[in-house]
Amino acid sequence: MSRRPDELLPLSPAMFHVLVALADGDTHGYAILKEVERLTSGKVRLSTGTLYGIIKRLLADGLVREVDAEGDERRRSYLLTPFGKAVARAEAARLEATIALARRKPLFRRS
Amino acid sequence: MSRPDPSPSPRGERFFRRLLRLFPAEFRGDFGDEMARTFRDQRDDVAARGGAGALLRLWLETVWGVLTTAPRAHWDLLRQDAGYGLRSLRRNPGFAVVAIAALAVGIGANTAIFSLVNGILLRPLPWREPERLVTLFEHAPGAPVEKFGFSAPDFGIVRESAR
Repeated sequence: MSRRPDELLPLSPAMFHVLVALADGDTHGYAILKEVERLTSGKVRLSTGTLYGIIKRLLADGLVREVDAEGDERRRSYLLTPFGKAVARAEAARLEATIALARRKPLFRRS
Repeated sequence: MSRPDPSPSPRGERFFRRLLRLFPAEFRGDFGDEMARTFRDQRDDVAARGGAGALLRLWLETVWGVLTTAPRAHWDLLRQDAGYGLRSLRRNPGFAVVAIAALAVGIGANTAIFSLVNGILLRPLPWREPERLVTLFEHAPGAPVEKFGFSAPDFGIVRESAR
């Protein structure tokens, strides 16, 4: 039974940030936290509990999978699955479409 | 899924491990060690860069994160178990009927027994100092019954003489 990526949309902002942080390849927990903070210029700071709550859901939905972290086999890293990449792209497209709708109104037009 | 971490556990990490007990055991088994490692990295990094204030902020964010995430983890697990239970019952309707009947009888019997025990043993009588209550009977030599209840005037006499 194949699932459509848009069945899981919309993603929570935190979940989308985690998927974006994983876009460059497998990453362990702390690196994900730092990458989210870097990408958002410190505006989003996930706590450890929030991060692993999200990872549990991403694993359960098949968006990421576990791999051994490079250089430390006790540590786990997380890698986007092809389905996870498709969901991340679908969410980005949904957000873009939402912004495009808003931009039609003068209030949201870039000056 | 989880692999043990042989590194020593300082006080902060022990407190963090205690915090993790707010999560369901299954969640802790899957992610507890990994969360402890991540928190340790985070704490070491913050302590090296930011000092005491940043460390305090990290602790507050971490505690708040656990307090807000743990109930969600419990709820997810409950939903997952309930979903599994419902799917199992749907697959075996005969078993479902027997299980529901057993539950109904069990709950009904428990409720009936509790009602009795509560009424007879647990709930106090609706008067002050109920342990001082006595039952009075009248006894009249030669009467066809050994004891009988008070008439209203007799009760008034007994009450007056008891003062």
